[in-house]
Amino acid sequence: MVNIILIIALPLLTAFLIPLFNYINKKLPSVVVVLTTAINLLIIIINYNQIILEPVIIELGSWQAPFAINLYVGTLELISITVISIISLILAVYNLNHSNFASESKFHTLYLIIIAGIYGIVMTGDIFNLFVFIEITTVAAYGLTTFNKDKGYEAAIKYIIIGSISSVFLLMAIGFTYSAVGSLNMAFIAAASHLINPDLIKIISLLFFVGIAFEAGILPLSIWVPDVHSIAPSAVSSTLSGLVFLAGIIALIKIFFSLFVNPSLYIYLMIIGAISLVIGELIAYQQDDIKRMLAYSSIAQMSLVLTIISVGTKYAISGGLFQLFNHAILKTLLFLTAGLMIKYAGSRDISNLGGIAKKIPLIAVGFSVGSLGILGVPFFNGFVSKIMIVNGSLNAGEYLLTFLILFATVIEMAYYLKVIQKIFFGKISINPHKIVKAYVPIIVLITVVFLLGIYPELIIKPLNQAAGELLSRSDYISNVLGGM
Amino acid sequence: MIDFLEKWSFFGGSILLILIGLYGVITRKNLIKIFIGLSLMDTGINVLLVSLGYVKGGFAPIITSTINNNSYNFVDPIPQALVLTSIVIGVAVLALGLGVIIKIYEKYNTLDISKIRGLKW
Repeated sequence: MVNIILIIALPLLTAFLIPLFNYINKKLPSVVVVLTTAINLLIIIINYNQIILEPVIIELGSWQAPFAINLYVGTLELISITVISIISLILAVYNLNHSNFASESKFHTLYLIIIAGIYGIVMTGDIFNLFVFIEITTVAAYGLTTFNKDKGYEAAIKYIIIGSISSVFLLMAIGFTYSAVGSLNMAFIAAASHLINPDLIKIISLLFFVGIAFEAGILPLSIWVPDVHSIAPSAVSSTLSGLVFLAGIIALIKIFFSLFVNPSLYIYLMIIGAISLVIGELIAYQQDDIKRMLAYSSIAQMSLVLTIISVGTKYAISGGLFQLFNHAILKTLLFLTAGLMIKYAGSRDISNLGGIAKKIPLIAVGFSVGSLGILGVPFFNGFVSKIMIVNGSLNAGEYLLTFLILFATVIEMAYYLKVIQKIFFGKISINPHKIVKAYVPIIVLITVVFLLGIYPELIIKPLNQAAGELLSRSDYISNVLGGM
Repeated sequence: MIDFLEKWSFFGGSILLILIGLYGVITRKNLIKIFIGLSLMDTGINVLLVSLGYVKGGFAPIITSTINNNSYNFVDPIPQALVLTSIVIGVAVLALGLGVIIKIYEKYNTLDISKIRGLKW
């Protein structure tokens, strides 16, 4: 048993040692990033069997739970950190020699900080700590956005302004919660939440939603997403779209299912999610810029996850979580391949990517696998989660929601198949640029997609356990607080 | 009147400060003014947090030779610790934002967001 806090501490340590490594050898930082993420994955694998049996609580400074910050790793957190570590390792391998800024050590520093922040958001058991980790993640993301010299600064400014406003609302929520409960510990707040005035809970929930939904990519607050995701370097787009959104949704789930359980609020979440889903898909359909299209598709997918989780049954929650993790894997694949296609063709427009599959077949196949996975074609990992989502909403009697989800899938199919048709059968009209082909990350990601598609039991069993844990929060409270 | 002010000036004032900042962010066209608005919002939230832990006539929660037992009225130290963290984060974000603004000014020679392509919303 290795202390699981190392997965936060190690990236933070190496992040600030990167300039030193860069001083020794210019090629060293990218190797160090790969090593760090690999060690993280190793630590999680070592601990996996133990945590799946019983949640691990790490009390920092060895003070008892309500008085100090603690980290909580249950099944949900365990699956999330496993997925995060796998994807961050794949992206680190991609960064090894596939980016023109690989020589810039600052990029690697920020990448490690963002990874540490994401782990923190997922694992923390303290709401102020949650705020700090969200800020760590977003400040690193602001920096990473500016690496594109072309339009990065404009996107970063948008991101900073919206991020700062949201963080004010998040702090306000934390302040009100503290003044109502007298503690910042999530389990303690959950235990005391029935004592808070219900109207105050509604206000606090709204403030939390405004504060975190910006991070999770729910539409009214995520107008920065398309700019930042389409302009940032591919590896950063993948991180933001796959991992930061994942962490944001996990934080929202924790707030609404562990902290303040108020089923009367779920209907609002469902409505916001459904509207954001349909609007996101409709805007994605109109995009000509391939990365913008993927960014709007991310918004729609996150809204789908939020809606289906707010249905609130165990089956629907595990379906939504499965979709969340599938989306992280698939969007990483999509953004990487889209980035390579853009570099190869020298253009971001879908109409200019015609026939690219004949020149760089593996990358085009990777993109298609990602698209078909998002659509939920059988044998791809999205299939099982889509089935679970549709089943879950039908079983809960939400027929309108089911209709909207299927309607959104139809729009999704229209624009993804349009791109696939273009890159495979379109007329070749590009003058190729030289690119470094990234075979290893793409092949690994495709393997993962098919592995989860053909053998979904691998993740469904722990997901059911996670959904069960989410719904039985008295266990969570007694786990953290002991017999208090 | 004085009672009312004493009771509500912290809460009302800080929330007013946040709203003024938000108004500035939404209506101003100049990037620097937008960031002044953001900074006002930060200040407002810091005042709000401190006022949540304020106890009238309370002492700083430090044991000294004269204040040496629990019978004294202490203000809550946790919001103050939170505010310190939040100030640091606010300053970091402000510095980063101003750095990016300098880059934008070098590129466009203007700070007016209505004239900067890619910043219209």
